[in-house]
This record gives sequence, C-alpha cells and structure tokens, in this order.
Amino acid sequence: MSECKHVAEMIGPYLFGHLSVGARATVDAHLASCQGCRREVVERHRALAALGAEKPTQAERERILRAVRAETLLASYSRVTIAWGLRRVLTMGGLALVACGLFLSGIWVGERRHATRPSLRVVGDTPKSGVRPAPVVVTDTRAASAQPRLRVGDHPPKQVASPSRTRFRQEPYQLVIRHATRVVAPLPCGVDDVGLATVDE
Amino acid sequence: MKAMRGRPSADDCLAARFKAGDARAFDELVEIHLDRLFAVAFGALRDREAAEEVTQEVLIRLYRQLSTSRAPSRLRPWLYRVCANLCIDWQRSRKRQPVTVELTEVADSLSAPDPTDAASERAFREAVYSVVRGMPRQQKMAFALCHFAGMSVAEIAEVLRCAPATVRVHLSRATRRLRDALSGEAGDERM
Repeated sequence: MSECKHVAEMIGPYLFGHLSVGARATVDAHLASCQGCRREVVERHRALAALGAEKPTQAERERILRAVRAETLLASYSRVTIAWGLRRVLTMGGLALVACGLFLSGIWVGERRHATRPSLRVVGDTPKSGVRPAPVVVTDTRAASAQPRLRVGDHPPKQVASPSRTRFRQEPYQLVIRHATRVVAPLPCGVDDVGLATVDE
Repeated sequence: MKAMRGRPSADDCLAARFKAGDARAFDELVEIHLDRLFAVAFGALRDREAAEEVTQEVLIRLYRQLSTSRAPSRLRPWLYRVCANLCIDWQRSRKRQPVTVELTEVADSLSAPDPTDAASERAFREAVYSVVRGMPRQQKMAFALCHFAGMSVAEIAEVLRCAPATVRVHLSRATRRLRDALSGEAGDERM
C-alpha cells in the first residue's frame, strides 16, 4: 500500500508526461501489477479528457486582436509624438537660448556704449588768478543714489585735470566729467555752458 | 499541448526580433500565445468575458514590456506569470470567493444516463470546470498552466515561484480531485 501511495503522488505528473524516464518506468511497473492504481489512472485521464482547452471564438479572438492592435498603434503614435514633441522642445529651447544670448549680448553692448557715453561738459571762463572757480555739482548717472560725485573746481577729475590745466589758465576751461548727465546745483559764476558731449575713450 | 516544449527559445527569439525592430515578430508571438492564454484564463476563471479581458491585458502588457528596455529575459514564464496574477487580481476584484463545490453533487451530474447526449456532455464539462474552479488558487493555476498551456513542471515552478516538487504535488492533487468528482468520492484535500 505504501507503494500505491507513492505512485498516487506521481499519477498527476505521469498523466501530463512530466515524469523522468526512471520515475515513469517505476509507475508503469506498478500499474502493471496494481489494478487499483490502474483504475485511478484511467479515471483521472477520463476527467482530464473532459477538460479540453477552451479556445476563444472568432468574435472573441477578433476583439482581443483589435484591442491589442489599438494599443500598439497608440504606443507607436505616442512614440512618434513624443519624438516629434522632443524635437520641437529642443528646437524651441535652442531658439530661446539664442534669443536669450542675443538679448544679453545686447544688454552688454548697451552697457558698454553707455559706459563710453559722455558725460557732462562744463565750459566756463578762465577764472581770475587767485580765485577758485565755484563748484559745479553733478550726479553720476551710474550711481544708485543722487549723491554728488564731482565738484568741478574743487576736485577736478583726475582724468581731465592734467590736460586741462594749461587751458584752465589761458582760455575758457572745459572739463569733461564722465558719467554725469545733469547738474544738480545752480551753475556757478563764470560757468557759461553745461551740456552733453561725446567723448572718445 | 506539448508543442511549446520543443522550442523553448522560440519566444525569446521572437522577442529579440521585435526589439530589433521587426514588428511582425510581435504578431507571431500573439498568434502563438493567444489561444493558450485564453485557455489558461478561462480554465482558472470559468468566465469567457473575464478570460477575454485577461488575455487582452496580458498581450498589451507584453507589447509594453517589449517596447521598454526592461524586457523580460525569459518571455514565457513572465507571460504566464502575468496571466496568473491577472486571474488572481480579477477574482479578488470581483470579490469572488473560491467556489466550494459539493463533489457529491458533481458526481450526480456526471452519472447521467446517456453520456452521448449533448446536454449531458455539456453538463459534464460544466461540472468538471466547477471542480477546477473550486481548487485552491495555486493548485488551480498549476493545473491550468499544465493542462491548458502545456507548460513543464519547471516552467510552472518558475511562473508560480515555487519548487518543482510542489508543482508535482499540485498536479497530483488536482487530478485526484477531478477523479474524485467523477467517481463521487468526495475527498477532502484542500491545501
């Protein structure tokens, strides 16, 4: 009986053909001599034979294939769309980068031009000997605040002091004050004109 | 039933062809597995509509998986594992409890006087399917994969992530359960 119990555990795999050659030979040998186990195999085989693999009908098959094809088409379309979208995003991004570059370079060029932009030209009579010219108070356009930066006469800008020194005594003086655009104090005595002029760097 | 065992790497070859850009390879895979997947799903769920849904979903997931870089290295175990998981999910989502079949009732229906009669034959099949549906989950999936998809014990073990010996026990108990249903010997062998 213990052999029957052992063989009974192998009948399932035996019926499905999943036993090794040796195990199958063992079962065959036992079945040849045991009527009970032989009946067991026949009955199980009969039950399995009743369970045919159920196939999908033509309509079911077509519905399945249609759904799968729809998915594959959708996936293909998505891939194409994504690739196209990616290309478009990259193109637009590149264009945006170029535009930003142009804009920033424009700002930089503008700054440079503004930096070389002139400034305030102060023209006045030659002061008399021993008389200090009255200060001209101007603002620096690049300064964040409107604090006076330069006082003509009191502190002539160094960049113009040297070349103007001679003319300062002999002719109407002319000072160029960089980055100054307006006068914030009344024109002092002896100063004739205040205006903007371009100065080459 | 045993056609799949002769060419174990055919599916993987088709998958490789598809990944290489041959779209027809996927159609061939569908042709190979559609009927078997349906049979497994129907055997486990005993519901044609559900089996259709499960088959669709498995094939769609197959396409998605093959389209990604994370395609499975061994296709067939992966495919039927997805099928088994979807069957289990479907049963859970429908809140269907495992059907307990009174084997004595099945035996009564099976002992119809005229086995050649079509209605009797249909009743016989229904009864046997009911027995399959009433099997414990792992046992039922092992039986469905073996009987309807023709998978080997090793493949079923890979699909169900258990030992081959466990699969053999499942198959043995499943066939015994069917035999009990036929002969009216209502054995209690629930796992």
